[in-house]
Parts: sequence; C-alpha cells; structure tokens
Amino acid sequence: MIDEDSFLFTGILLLVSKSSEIIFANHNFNSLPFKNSALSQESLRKLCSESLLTGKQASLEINTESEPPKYFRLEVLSVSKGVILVGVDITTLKKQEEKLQRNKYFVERNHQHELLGIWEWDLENEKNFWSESLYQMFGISKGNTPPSLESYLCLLHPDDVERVRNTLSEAVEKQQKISFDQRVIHPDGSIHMVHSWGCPILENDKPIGYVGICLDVTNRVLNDEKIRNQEQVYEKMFENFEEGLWIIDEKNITTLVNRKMEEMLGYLPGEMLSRSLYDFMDEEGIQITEKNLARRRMGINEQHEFVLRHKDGSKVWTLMGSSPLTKRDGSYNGAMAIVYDVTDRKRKEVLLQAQKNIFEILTHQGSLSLALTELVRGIESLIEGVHASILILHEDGRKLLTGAAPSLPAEYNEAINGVEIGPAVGSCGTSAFKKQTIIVSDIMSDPLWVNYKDLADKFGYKACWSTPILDDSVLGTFALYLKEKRSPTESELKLVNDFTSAARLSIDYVKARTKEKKLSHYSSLLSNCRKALSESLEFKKVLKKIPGIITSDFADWCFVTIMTEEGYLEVLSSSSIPEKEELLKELEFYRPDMAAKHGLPLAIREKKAILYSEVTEDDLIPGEDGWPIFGTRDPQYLAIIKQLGFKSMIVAPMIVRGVALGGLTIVSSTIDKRFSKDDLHLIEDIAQSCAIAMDNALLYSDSQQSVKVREDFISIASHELRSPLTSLKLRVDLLTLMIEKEYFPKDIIEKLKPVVSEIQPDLAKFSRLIEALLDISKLSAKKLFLNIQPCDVTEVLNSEINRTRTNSEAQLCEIKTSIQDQLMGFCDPLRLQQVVSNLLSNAVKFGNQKPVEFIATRKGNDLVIKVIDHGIGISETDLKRIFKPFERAVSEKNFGGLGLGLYITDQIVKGHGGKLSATSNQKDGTCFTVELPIFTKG
Amino acid sequence: MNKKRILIIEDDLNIRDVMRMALEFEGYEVSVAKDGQEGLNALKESPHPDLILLDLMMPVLNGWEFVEIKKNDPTIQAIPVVVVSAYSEKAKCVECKAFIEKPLVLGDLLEIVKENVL
Repeated sequence: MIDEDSFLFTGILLLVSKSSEIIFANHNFNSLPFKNSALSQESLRKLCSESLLTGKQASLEINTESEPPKYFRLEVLSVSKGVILVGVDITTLKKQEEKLQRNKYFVERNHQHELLGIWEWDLENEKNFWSESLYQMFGISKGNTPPSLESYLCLLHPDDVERVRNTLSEAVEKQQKISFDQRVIHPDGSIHMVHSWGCPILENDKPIGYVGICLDVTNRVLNDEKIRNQEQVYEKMFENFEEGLWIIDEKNITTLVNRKMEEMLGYLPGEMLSRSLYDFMDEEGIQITEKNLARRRMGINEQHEFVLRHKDGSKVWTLMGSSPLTKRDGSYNGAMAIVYDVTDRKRKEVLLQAQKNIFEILTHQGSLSLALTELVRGIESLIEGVHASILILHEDGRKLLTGAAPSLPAEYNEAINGVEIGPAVGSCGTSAFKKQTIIVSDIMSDPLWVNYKDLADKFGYKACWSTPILDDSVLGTFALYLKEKRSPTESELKLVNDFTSAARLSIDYVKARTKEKKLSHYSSLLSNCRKALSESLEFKKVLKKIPGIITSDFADWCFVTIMTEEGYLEVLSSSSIPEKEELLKELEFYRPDMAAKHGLPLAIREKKAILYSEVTEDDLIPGEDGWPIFGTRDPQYLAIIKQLGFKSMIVAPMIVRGVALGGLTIVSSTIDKRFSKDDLHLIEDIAQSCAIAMDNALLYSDSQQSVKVREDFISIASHELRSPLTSLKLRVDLLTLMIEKEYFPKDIIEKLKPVVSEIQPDLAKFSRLIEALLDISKLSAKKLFLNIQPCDVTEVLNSEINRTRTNSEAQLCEIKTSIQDQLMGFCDPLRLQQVVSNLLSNAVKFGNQKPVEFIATRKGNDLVIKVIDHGIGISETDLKRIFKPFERAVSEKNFGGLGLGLYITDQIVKGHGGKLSATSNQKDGTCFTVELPIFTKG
Repeated sequence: MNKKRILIIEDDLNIRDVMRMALEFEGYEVSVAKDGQEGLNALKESPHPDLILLDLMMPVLNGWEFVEIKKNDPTIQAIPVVVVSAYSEKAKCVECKAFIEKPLVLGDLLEIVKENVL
C-alpha cells in the first residue's frame, strides 16, 4: 500500500494491479463516506476489476450521500500494469456552476471542465503510456509524439524543464511519489498550468516505473481567478447596487441581501440573513407573498408593488422585480428580487391625490374642513397608527379652531376647539405660539402637556407631534397623535412637512377665496346701502332702510342713531331675528348716553369706528372707568342688551364735514360670527355713505326751505303790496281829480300840480314791479295760466310798441319796427304784450341810447320776433343765466329792477310752446329771438 | 235834490276809505260795511242805498254769500250791486249790474257808479 500524501489533488485515486491488487488508494478514496452499496469503495474496486478483464474504459459521475454531497467524475483507464481509477472532485465546480447559475444576471456561466490525463512511465523498458486525454492536455496528437520523458520535457516551458527533470530524478532515486506543477506550452503558444502526480510501482523493492495523472488546472486556476474576480465584481455590484437585492432559498429563507436592502428596511448588516421572508411584512403581505411565490415556483418572472415593513414598523412601499432561481435540474431553488424603494413616490402619490381631491373640493365651493380632511386621511394612510389633526388659528391670532380631525374622538375635538395658544399648551398650542415644530414623544411626562395629559390619556394618546402651518404668520397646526410613545423618523418628519405645506396652500386658497367672496359681499352690501340712500332726499325714510339691508345677510342687529345739534333724535333699528323684534323696539326707545366712555358715544367723540370683536356678558359690568363697553349704564338698557345676547359689535360714527350726524351700531349675536377689521372698514364706509346722504338731505331741505321762504315772501309781499298800492293809486287819482275840479284854492293847486304829476309815473313803475313779482309767484306755484285765444298779432305788437314809446325811458332812443301785416294767431294777447314790453324795455335799458330794432315775421307756423339793440352786450357766461329768476347780467348800480323780466318772458314763451334765445357780443350788442308756434291751434 | 246813497262793503280799510272819500267828493252819501254780515245789518235800516259796491273776498260773510242772501230777501233784492274784485273770472258768476276789476282806476269807478246808481 502506498500512503497517500497531501497533494492538491482533492479527488480520489485508485490504482489496481493486473492481479486486482490495490497498488494505491488515496486518502479521499478511503475516507469517502459512501454508504450506498452501489457506490462504495467495493463497487469502485469492482469497476476497476471489470475494466481489467474487459479493457473497457469508463467515465461516470458519482456523488456521496454526505451533507453537503461531494461530486466526483470518475475515469477508469486500463494501463499496462493494471487499471487506474481517477475521481475528480467536481463538488466546487458544481457549486460554482450553481452559483454561476444564480448569478446569471451578472456572471457568464463557464462550462469548461478540467482535463485529466493518465500516464505510465516505465523505467526499465521505456514502455510509456499516455492516455488520449493526456495528449489532448498537451495539445498534441498521438501520432507525432512518442510517449517519452524527453518528448514530455520538450513540451514544457523552458523555465520549468530543469526543475522537472531534477524533481523526477530525485523522486526515482528516493522511490517517492511525485507531485509538481509545470507549465506546458501548446503548439498554438498557449500556456497551460498542469499538475502532475504519480506514484512509483515497485518490484522487489525497486521501482520499475511510475503511474500518475496530469491535471490541466489552467481552467481551475483561471476559473478560481475568474470566479474570485467576478465574485468581487459581483459582490461590489451587489453591494453598491442602487436598489435592494434579495435572494431567498426554496424555503423562503434569506440567503443574501445587499446593504441597500438592509438599509431600506432599517437593519444592520447581516441582520436579515437566515430570516424568513415573511418576517418583513404584515399579515396582508404574507397572503400576497404566498401567491407570488407559488408563481415563482411555476417559473414566472414578474414585477409587482409590495409593502414591506421597516424594522421600526413603518410601511415601506416597494416595486419588486422577482425571478425564480432553479437548480441544475430546473427545479425551484428559491427566488431573487430587485427591490425599488417607492415609499417616497408612494407618499408623493398619496399627497398628490389628496391635493387633487382638495382642488376638486375647493373649486366646487367645498368647505376648507372637507379639503383638509383629505390631507388628514392621506397622512393617516401613510403612517401606521396615527390620528392626524389640523387646527386653524382664528383671525384674532389667539385661538385654535378645529379644521379637520376626523379620526380624533369628537369629545377630544370639542375639548380642544378654541384653545388659546401659549408657551405650554400641549403640542399644538405651543407649536402655534412658538412657530416651531413641537415633538412630544411622551405626553404623560412632558411639561407642555401638564394641563392636557388627562384628556390625552382618556383616549390613549401617548405622543403628539405638531408642526405649525406657517405663511407670513401662523395659519394653524398640523399634528399627529400616536398611541405609542415615540418620536417621528426622519422620513415621517419630511412627510409631515410636505403635508403641512399642502395644508398651508389649502388654507391660503380658502382665505383668498373667502376674501374675494367677502369683498364681493361687501361691495354688494355697500352698493345696496348706497342705492337705498340715493332713492330719496328724505333722510329718515332712507336711513330706515339701512338696518334692514345690513341685517339681511351681514349682522343680526343694526341700529342707526340719528343725532341733531340738540341731541339724539331717533334710533332706527332692524334685526334678523324676528322673535326678538319686540326687544329691539324697546331698545329703540333708549338713547345712548353721550357721556359714556365706550360704544357709540366714544366713536362719535373720537370720530372713528370701533370694533368690539368679542363681547361677553362680563362687558355689561362697568369697568374701572365706571362704564360698561356700551354707550349706557342704564341698568334697564343693559338688561335688554343682555337679553339680545351681543357677541360682537361695531360702532361707527356718521360724520360729514367734521360734524357727527349720528352713528351705526352693528351687532352679531351668532356664536361663531365675530366681526373683523375688514367688517369694521365696511361699516365705516356705510356710515360715511349714510352721513353724506343725511347731509345732502339736510342741505336740500335747507335749500328747499329757503326757496319756500323766498317764494312765500314774494307771494305775500306782492299781494300785501298790491292792496296799499291800489289805495295809494286811488288817492292819487282822487287828488288829481280834486285838482282838476279846482277843489283847492288856485295858488295851492299850482303848487300841488307838479308834485302830483311826478307821483303818477312812479306809481306806474311800482305797479309793474308788483305785477312782475306776482307773475313770479304764480310761476313758482305753477299757477300762471295762459288765456289762449285767436288774436290779431300785428295789432297787439303795434299797440304795445306804441305804448312803450310813450314810456319816458324809451323816449331817449328810437325804436325801429318791421312788423309783418295781418298776422293772425292763437295766443294770450296780454302775455304777448308782456313779452314785447319786457324785451323792448330791456333793449332800451341796455341799448346805450342807440336805436333798437323790432322785427316780427311769420316763419312757417312760428311767429319770429327779433329785438336787437346795439348796447353793452352780454357776456357768454351771463347769457347762460339771464333767463333765471333774480339773475341780471349787469351790476345793480347801473340799472335797477329785480331781474325778473327775462325769466317771466322765457316762462311765457315756453308756456306757448315756443323758444326764447339770445345772442350777444360786447361790440354789436344783443339780439333776443322769440319763436312762438302760434299759427297752428294746438 | 237828494243825494244818491251808496253802500260800500269792503274788508280793506284803505280801499274802503278812499272809495268813500272819492264818492263823497262826487256828491254821494256813502255808508260802509267791513264784511257781508255788516252789509246785511246796514240794509235792515232805512233808507236803503241806491247802489251796493261789493267786494268778494271777505271774512265772516263773503260777497258770494251776501249776494245769495240778498237775492232771497224781497226787501233788498232790487238794490243794484256792482262787484269790485281782483278775481275777474270768479266775479262773472255773480249776479250783478257791473264788474270793476281791481286794481281800481278812479275814473272807471266813478263812471260805473254813475251809470248804475238807481
């Protein structure tokens, strides 16, 4: 028996002599754990014996039944001295193949096997034997090269020849086994690593030859190298792969994961290995995975979404590309997956969806609360076990009101609603106050929660993280409640921030929408008020409408307090609450106390509107200054106010030109309706409009009054004057008669005559003025009636001109006439005379003593009269107003009279359906034109 | 020759006075009354006037009422009446001998009185 030594040949080697004696069996052969009788040392020996008898060569693969099994490829070869059985251990190769198969994504599979040649070296007869495979290994053909030591040495790399020769000599000399490496150069120049092993065959203790094998280990070396390199590359790739890689065996046990995969799920390196795939998912996931793996077993590759569990319990949304792994025989050997972490994407999707829904809700005029609920639901679907709550900061900047918290118990929400923010008011109140994220991981022990922990405890909340929703200022808070004590992970914080931003956008949008709506509401309210105010000049009548408009859709109560110089005149009111109408009327009875230090009296004193955003019953109690915030301290008055339930109030003075004419008091008694600064400005505007309307009405009434006074004066004066004038005229007539009838002595008569004769024209002038005043009075009272009758216009005009010529004033200038003959028309002859008389006396008066022309012609149905003077003329500005009563184009110094003539003339002409006009320039004088449609009846 | 008697019923003292003066100057015997009622009272005494100058717009008893009563009193219905009024249109509805429009012109007054006195 030859001892086996340690050489790198890890296979089995058996040499059997022709006499079926085992010459050599290496250790591996002896220690093979063959249990199966079919594959045992004995059976192998049998195989060799059979080969001896038949000379048959054999080649087969065997494996041991050990765990893990070992694989051998057996070659049985007859040589001159017996049979040689070589079993190459291909276990590693098999494993590599398997590994390569598993790594088929990355590594190209290498199917090459090692070559093994068998040789016999006869020391005596030089009868050497090289097996076919040895020739093959040397890269040469059998015919060209005899199997000799020298030809062998020729095949070697020159650097190895000497060493090999020496090694062989030494081995023969010492009768030792040989085992060495050499490089063989193939005819194609390629260098192959070959390992040679042989053992001496002794006869009479003398070696007669060697039998051995040559192994071409080039592939093994290269393969080892390759595998090593590729493994490194693969490992590198595996580890550095951007996505997770996960391999499980057929029992779903994790055999390999890369770092990325471990990080994705929050595990330390190696922590995931040897654990079941099912450890990394929830119940629902397990059910899905079972179905998935069944498909894998059917050899199906697929890509699918899957929710894994992070080590901290949170959900990790992934996209997996899974492939089955198979054994060489094609049977299922586990699965491999490339795992993409899509949690971020998933979160974005949820956020995006929530935002889409919000957009839908808000553009369809849905409530903010409904919109925010989308965000709450969204984040609750992303973070396990949280209840989200969005609180909105009230306009007053102090209170937080529930925005959306559908998962929190109603009782909890009610308790929190309206909480005032502060430096230690739970998570939300503090977060809104400090404008920073407040993480409370343990409510029970946190000082911020001292006043609220019992409430939280009642519903099992253990932690609460709150983020302020910030714009330019705090809009509200976004909070997550948890029933476990913990802080948020980094990704959760990021998530909360993203959702908080979305909440901010929603709140901003709704605020803008609300503002827009409010502005349009304001503008319609203001325009309604203004419209009402402009409907009449009776201010009380229109102011009465204002409370009704304001209480129609803005406030619950409205009082208009009208003030006069003497004090309060009246309170007009309206209410949107019909059942309190009687109280309201009672309240109208009371007057604010001007001495009050608050309310409307203060607003009137300070001349500015005041907002009492929040009014409570406490405000009915007099403060330090001895006054409640209302404009009274009358207990009965206050008692009514209490019954009305004031909740918010605006008082605005009605001021115009610095004078307060009263004020508006606007009240809300609705619990959640508080007036804002914007409301204050609106009411200020309305109060201003009221003041202007009231002022206009007062001014109009004043002017109406003064017009009436004037008209009354004219009417009374002219009537009162007429009577004494009549008697005066009669007395003068009587005196004249007495003088004519020489009732007095002659000398007295002589003295009386010139005095009396001067009285008559004065009286005539006086009389005309009185008549004019009477006409004006009739015109004002619309009592100037025309007595239209057929008349000889030519004659009327001529006689009036003649009468005017006798007038002492008219004697100073010539009147040139051109009057068409036989003008017959329908008119009031007396009034026509008046027209002629007025125009002529006017022309004479301002004619600068130059001739005056009077032209009367018929044009169609019109009588056209032109009265032309060449006097001082009338300026353009004056022309526009000379037809108004009491207007005169010249100063009073130069010419007397009341300035009524042209007005009366114009009115008479208009009464006839005609037109009076004037053209003038200061060089050529003035031309008045009368057009009277008197040549047609009606 | 007996003077002709004229009764002036006129509420305006000035007009009444100047009318009285003028008519007396012309030789009439003039009596006056400041309203219709006073006029009726005056007519209860003899002798009756030969002409009544009657204003229309008067307190107590106006001219129209006076005319109505006088018409129904046979003792005085024959006495001629001349209306003196500013209301020419309205005056035309009154039964009277003549109508003098105010403002009065002395010549017209004297002439109409002369024409209508009994």
